Amino acid sequence: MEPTARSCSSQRYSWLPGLIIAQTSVLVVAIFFTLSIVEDRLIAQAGRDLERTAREVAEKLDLLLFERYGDIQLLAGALAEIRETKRGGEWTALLKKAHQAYPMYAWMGVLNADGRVVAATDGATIGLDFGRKSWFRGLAAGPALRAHYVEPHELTTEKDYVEFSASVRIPGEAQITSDPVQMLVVTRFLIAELSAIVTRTLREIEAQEGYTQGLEFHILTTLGRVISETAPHPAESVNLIDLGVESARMAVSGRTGFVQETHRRRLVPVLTGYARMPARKELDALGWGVLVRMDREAVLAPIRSTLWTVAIGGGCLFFPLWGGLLWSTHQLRRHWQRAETAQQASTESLRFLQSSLDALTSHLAILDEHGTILAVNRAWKAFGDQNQLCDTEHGVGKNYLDICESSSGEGGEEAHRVAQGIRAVLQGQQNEWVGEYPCHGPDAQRWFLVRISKFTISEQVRVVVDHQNITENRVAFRALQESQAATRAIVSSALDAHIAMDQDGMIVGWSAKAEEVFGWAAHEAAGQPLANLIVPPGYREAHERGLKRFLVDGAGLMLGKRLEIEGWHKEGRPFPIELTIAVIKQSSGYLFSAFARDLTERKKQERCQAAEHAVTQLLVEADSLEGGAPDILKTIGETLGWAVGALWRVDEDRQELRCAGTWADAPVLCAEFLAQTRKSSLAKGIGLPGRVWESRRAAWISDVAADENFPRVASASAAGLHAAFAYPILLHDKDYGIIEFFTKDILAPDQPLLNMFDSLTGQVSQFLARRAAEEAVHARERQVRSIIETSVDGIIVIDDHGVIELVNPALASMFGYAPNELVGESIKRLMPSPDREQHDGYLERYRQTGVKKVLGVSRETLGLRKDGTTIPIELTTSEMQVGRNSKFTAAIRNISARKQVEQEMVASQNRAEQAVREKVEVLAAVDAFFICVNLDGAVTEWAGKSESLFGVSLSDAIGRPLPELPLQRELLEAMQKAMQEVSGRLAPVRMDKIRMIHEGKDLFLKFTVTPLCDDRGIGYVFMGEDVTERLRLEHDLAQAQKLESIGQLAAGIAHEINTPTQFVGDNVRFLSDSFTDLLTVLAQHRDLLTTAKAGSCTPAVIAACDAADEQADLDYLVEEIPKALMQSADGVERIAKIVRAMKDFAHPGSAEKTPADLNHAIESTVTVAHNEWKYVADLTTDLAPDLPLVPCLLGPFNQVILNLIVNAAHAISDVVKGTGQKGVIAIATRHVGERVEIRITDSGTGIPEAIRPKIFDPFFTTKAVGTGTGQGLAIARSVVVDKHGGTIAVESQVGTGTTFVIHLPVTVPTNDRVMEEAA
Amino acid sequence: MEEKKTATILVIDDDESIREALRRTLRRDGYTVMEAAEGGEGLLVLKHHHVDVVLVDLFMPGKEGLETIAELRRSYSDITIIAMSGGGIRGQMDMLETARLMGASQTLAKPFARETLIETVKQAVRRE
Repeated sequence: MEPTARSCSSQRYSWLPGLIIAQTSVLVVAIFFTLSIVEDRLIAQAGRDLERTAREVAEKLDLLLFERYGDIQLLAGALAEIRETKRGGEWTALLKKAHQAYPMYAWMGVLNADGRVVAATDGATIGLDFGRKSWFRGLAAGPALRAHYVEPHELTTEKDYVEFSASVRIPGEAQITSDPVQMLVVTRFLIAELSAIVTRTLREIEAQEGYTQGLEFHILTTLGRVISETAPHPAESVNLIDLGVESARMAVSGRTGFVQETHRRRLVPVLTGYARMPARKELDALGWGVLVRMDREAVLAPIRSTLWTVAIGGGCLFFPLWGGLLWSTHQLRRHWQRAETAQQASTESLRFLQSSLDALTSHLAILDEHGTILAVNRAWKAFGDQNQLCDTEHGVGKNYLDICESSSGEGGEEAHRVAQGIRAVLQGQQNEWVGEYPCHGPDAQRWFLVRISKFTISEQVRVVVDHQNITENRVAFRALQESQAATRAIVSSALDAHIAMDQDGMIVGWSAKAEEVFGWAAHEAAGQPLANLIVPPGYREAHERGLKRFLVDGAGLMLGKRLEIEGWHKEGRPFPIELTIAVIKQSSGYLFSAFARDLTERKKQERCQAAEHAVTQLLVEADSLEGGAPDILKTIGETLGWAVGALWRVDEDRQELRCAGTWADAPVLCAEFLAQTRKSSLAKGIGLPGRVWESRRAAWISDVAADENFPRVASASAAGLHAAFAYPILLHDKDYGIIEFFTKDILAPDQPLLNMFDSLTGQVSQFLARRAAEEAVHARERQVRSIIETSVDGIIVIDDHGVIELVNPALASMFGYAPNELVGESIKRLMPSPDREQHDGYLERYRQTGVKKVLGVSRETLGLRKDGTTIPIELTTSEMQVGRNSKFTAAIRNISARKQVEQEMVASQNRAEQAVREKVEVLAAVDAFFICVNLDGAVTEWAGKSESLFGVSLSDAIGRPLPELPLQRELLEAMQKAMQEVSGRLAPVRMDKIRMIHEGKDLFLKFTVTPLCDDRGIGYVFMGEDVTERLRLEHDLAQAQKLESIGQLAAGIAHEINTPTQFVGDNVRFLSDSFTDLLTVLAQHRDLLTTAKAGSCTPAVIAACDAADEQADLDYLVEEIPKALMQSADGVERIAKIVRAMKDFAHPGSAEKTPADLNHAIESTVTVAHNEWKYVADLTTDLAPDLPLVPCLLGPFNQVILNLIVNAAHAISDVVKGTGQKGVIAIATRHVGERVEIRITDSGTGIPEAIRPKIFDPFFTTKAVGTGTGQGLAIARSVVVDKHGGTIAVESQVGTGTTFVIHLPVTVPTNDRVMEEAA
Repeated sequence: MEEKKTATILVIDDDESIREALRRTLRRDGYTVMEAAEGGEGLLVLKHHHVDVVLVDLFMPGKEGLETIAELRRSYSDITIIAMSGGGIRGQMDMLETARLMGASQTLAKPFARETLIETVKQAVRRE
């Protein structure tokens, strides 16, 4: 089903919860709406009640006041009846009587026309005169009868009241004569009484209506002033209209109604009913308004409490119901979805089943319980179509049992077996029946696997018949078996030990070679933890850590690389091995496969070579064998790891050996032995040296303690010395001396070591011969000449212009000349090109700079024979000082034979090594290619890099004969040639440096062809790799090793000179051009001057002048010329400075120490080395001005400073490389007591603690191969300590930098000084 | 002067004297010259100005010549590069040859004559 449809169905009914929520919201809104309507209704109802109440109160007020209005009229009538004579007292009595009847009146009185009180209820007021008061005048001027509201005044002390007045015409005594008297009757009615009545009325109404809260009322004047209210305000009277009270305004305007408003005093919402006293003419002056109010809350309170009860009750019921509704909706939806998904799944699974069946490569048929075919899959149909076996229905509907049982001919028997199998399964005897049968087609062999299984659907039995073509499996299985056999053969025959380890660190593979290398037998090793067996104890933890780390994040293993590490032998000793590790990921975890090679021999070889080299070096530098003995013994002993060494000298006269020097790595431990050795003298045949002297051959004793002929056995045993060897030093067949060495182990004779010493002997002899020759020049020339002449090596002496002064017969015959032919000739005659052309240059350079390029080292080169052929020679040259001239001596040895032997040795060793290496790489690394060719010549394996290297894909290559493949001709020829050779010899054949072109580039291949023999013929296995890179590296390495520090320096100096030369040249050209321009300008200006002087200066001349200025760009020239001049001068100075420095630096100096200014020497060296440090560091010097002159060999001293500066620059370069920053080199000198101190500090990498003791050792270097010879610091030490009696020390901190501190004595060591004084 | 050559040349060299001397020479021949004291600065100049030919020294503090050439080749394929050096040899490598391999179309070994410079630049501009 479509994914969109699925997502739709899952969305179905998702609106239900929304609907429920929406409905709830609508309901809530409706409830609130209804509530507000109900409230409004309630308010309206209450308002109308209040309105009615207000009206009632107003009417009541009206009635009350109207009665009072009637009162005064009655009173006035009664007063008028009284006779004139009795007036006064009678009136007062009448008034008092009335007052008794109506106590609500505060005061009653009668005033005459003049305003005098003539009678009153209150006697105190009688006789008061109000004639002038405004009150009285107002009354007198007003209508005859009136009622009005009055504020208190002196007539009464009571509060507010309503005053009624009526004017009365009282007839006079003499009715005819006198005019009737006008009198004024006044009554005052108390508002307080009025309030009490109103309050009473309200209380009645409250009780009647059932109000919960007391009603409030206000009675207002027409102006809005409050006359009376429920709770009179203590302060001044209030005007509600002024306060803006709506109801007050409405009331005084004569309307009746109710209004909602805010209580001004309490600030709560209130409901006010308002009305006005009915309009009545008599009381029109009053027109009071009545307000009756109650709190809105009080109105709503009853319904609110009901609502709360209903809401809480309803909520308790509603929310659980609501929640339940949501939950059940959710559940319903889920059930619906599940049902839907299930339906989809079943539909899909049906389709899936069908398509799966169709996708299966097996031929499937489904039968019912009688064997009738119900359905078949696509593969079945296809197979049927291909083989025209079945009808268009592909057998559907037919009975498969019948088909099988009716089958006859080839395969008939198998068909019957299948039928039996089906029956067995149907009857339930077996759950499954499996059988295999061949069914070969006309053009190919085929095998089938038939599998019958039963299943039940809705109680109906069904059978599945499954035919599977297993031809490929069978073929592949056979191929696999063959390939495994081949791999096993390769692994077991490999020269390297093969070890396999599972991811728990247990050994699972252990080749025969591994037994040999590590000492453990395969059955001992299998299943053991690898770490405990072959990893040295100190590294075990690290090994396990590394393994764990690899298993966690796949990092940390040096896969596919060659690692040089230490292995652990069964005998409990470490030894160097080379390891290549590959990881194979298997279903059960990782499998680590490693090839290990024992490097012990190689390391030993390297040590031997180093020792040999060092000794040669020492011999060249030493003055005599005895003088060099301590160093030689030390060098050999330390390099080879022997403990004690001794040099014995043959005393011809006494016929005995005497010790001429000893050395021990730990002299304290074997002091006794050393002392005895130094004292000993041995006769021929006595002791180890004696035996060697006698036999003239190297001798070896595995353990001197067990040797019978060893006089020093006691002290040797005490010192723990066991194995020893000695070899003779022969000088032209004469015994010269013996060198012997001891070690603390018991060792079997070591042939390579002895071989090495054989060759050393030759070199020592050569050295002795040279020395002898030199001595002879001084003392016994003829004798020496004879030695020279009998020397087997060629010896030649030339002067400093290359003219041959002496040759010995050996040399002459080596080059094919008669001895006399060469003397007086140029040495160049013996040199082939290009040495011949360059030799003058070499000599010239040496004469000028004193820089030795070939002197003092033995090197291999070519010599030119008289017949024009060249021969390989070993050349050792040295210089001797004769008076003021130099002479050069060369010892030359014909090494053609040795070369050939060497080459053959190297070649055979290489062959063996390479064969294994290639196999290792094929199996463990990724760079190799691997091709198998079977007996028929067809390619069966095309693995590794074959595809990418040869551009032929696996599918194209497999099955085709090799020559048919589109391979390059050269490669194909090499392969065929190799195969021919292999079939002839039945042994592996190696082809090297086979050139081919790959992606437009030259590429070199190396491969090995191994025969795979069979009784039927030969197959071939090609294993090889692209060695282009390796060849290139080897080539580069060889080149780089020839590098000389001086050569490098020369390049730097060239740069230093070339740069200023460049710009000085450019500037001079610029100045010259500019001068030409200036001359033109000058000419114009002269013109101008001339014409000006003549007074004929015209604008044209001035314009020409300007144009010339413009043309020459005069401003630019004026600006640039001084700069160019300054820079040129500076450049010339720079050149001069470096040339001066070079001269100082290369100062040939004398062989003797001369007092020298070290500051100056350091400055020169700094300048010469400028190019070495200027890009990586700033160099500062702090040179003490008071530094005394120091006796010094300037040349070597400069060399020391140069080496230290170059080292410092390299150390800094390692830190700042790529950062664009610069480090610091600081050089300081100081005079300290009897010594001069030189400190050279750098901010470089620093020297790790571990290697600090080794840095002064010869050949020790941390620089990449080819960038350093490892001699720099060794030379520095030698120069400072040995030649100057000074000290050199190092202070260093990793990450901070290094300081070398040199101390040189200011005074010459004593013996030298004595000699000086003697001279 | 006759028709002006408008090509712009960027000189990258840590030695000010060299830069100025080259500027004087090239300016005289009508080129516009810009200067930078090391590779990084040179690349900065290129960001803001059109340059036809870059004359670059191989040994400089900061960004070295070869690095600069590599960067130039990556970012400005249309610029012609001329490498120059006074040393030429470092270790066993001919640096000028290396520079050529890395994409410098011409090389100049210091000290070179003015005519050589002019001829080389002329070729470079024509190439461009």
